[in-house]
Amino acid sequence: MYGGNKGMKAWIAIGFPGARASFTEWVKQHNVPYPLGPVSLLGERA
Amino acid sequence: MAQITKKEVDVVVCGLGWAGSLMSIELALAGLEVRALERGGERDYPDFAYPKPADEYAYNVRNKVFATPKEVAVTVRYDTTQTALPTRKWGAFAPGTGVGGAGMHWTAVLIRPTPTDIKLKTYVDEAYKPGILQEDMRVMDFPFTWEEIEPYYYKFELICGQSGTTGNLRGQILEGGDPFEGPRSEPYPLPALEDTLNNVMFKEAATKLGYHPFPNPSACVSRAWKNPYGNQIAPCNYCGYCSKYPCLNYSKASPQTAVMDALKRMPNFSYEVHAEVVKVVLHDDKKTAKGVIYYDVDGNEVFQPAKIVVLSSFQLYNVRLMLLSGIGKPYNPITEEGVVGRNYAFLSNGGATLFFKDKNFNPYATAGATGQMFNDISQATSTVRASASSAARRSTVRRPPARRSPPRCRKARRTGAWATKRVWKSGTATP
Repeated sequence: MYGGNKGMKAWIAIGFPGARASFTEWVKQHNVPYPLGPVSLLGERA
Repeated sequence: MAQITKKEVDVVVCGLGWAGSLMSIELALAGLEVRALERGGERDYPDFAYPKPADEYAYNVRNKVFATPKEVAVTVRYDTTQTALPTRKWGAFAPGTGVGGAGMHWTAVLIRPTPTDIKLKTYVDEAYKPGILQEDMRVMDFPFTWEEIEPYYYKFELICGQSGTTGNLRGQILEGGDPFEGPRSEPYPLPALEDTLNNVMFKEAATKLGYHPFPNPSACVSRAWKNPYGNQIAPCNYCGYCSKYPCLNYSKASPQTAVMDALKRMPNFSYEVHAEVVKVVLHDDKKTAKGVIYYDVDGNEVFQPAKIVVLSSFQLYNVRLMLLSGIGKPYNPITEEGVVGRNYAFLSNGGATLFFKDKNFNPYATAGATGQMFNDISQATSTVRASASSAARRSTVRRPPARRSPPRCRKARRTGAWATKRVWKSGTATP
């Protein structure tokens, strides 16, 4: 979208799920890896 | 070039942020004809719809909803020997603009002062020997008591759906809250937000050391809430996009979610955007005002007559308007005379980032106000706080080590001489 983070590789590298922006069920789960990959603002998935 | 003159109203409100929207609704509920003028643009629900706010580059890096240096030029100098120079790029602070002002995108950590904070000079005089304060320190008492102001702290907390754990209810100390807080007349309207892993760790460590941590008081609401004006605020979904972002879930108390829906429906309220007030027009007595001059969206000069003028454009711009309008005596930093422009207070904080190889934090699963804090160090003037998301950085692991400008302050919008030290910021586990 802005010219960087191609294929969301940077987000994959640091384990960031992108623009999901809803974690009501996850905030209480401590020390549990988030299982889903990143989603971009344009709706792409990695 | 002719000036347009509008029909007189009872109240003209200059700036439609928290202060302006609350003044507007209270005066409109009292039956007055209220017109608000906002320099910035409209900021309404279509702007907040997911996925728009989930854009870290636009909002966090490029300050999308802030005023630009071009629009609100500010000059800065460090002491009176220098010439103040224009700020071209926001660093330590960034002013809000638009309907809702900075209240639309604040982090929603809503902390009360303590009874000591509002009578700090008295406290110092009683607790310490004379001369403990250096001569040029500006410690003073606020001109109201805890008993007078506390009901209004509670009223604002009801308006916001304040979420937290009560520590002192009418003098009774309750477990889990802040034992040092000033006595509350009523408990928090809503329970505290959920704790993230780093908060739990901080709380355990702090408790073991003998401190009294409690959840950050939060205006990111923890449950569905209907406030006294009839506005409804949704429960926070811990999206991680908070400070500097409009809320995509209607969960953050803001002028939009807490006031504007009810206010806009009132027939005796109206407002205009892209209306920049440049001067308060005074009567010949120079002590009372008769209206304001502003420039509308087309660049026309307009005179809005009013019986009451409210300046609610944020302290920085209120002072500027007063100086431009000849209201009050300007502060002179050399002779120390005058009041207008004196004691502008700003908040700084610092912190440390800790990394834990054996733990998984999911730092993006958090609310803006999520955190634990304690006031044991000094109840009056400093707090030590763990905050999982005040950094509001979901996709960066750490800050650059070398900084030329002072650390960006997320709490700058709250006034008050608080020294806060953030000692804990979560990081992702390294693979």
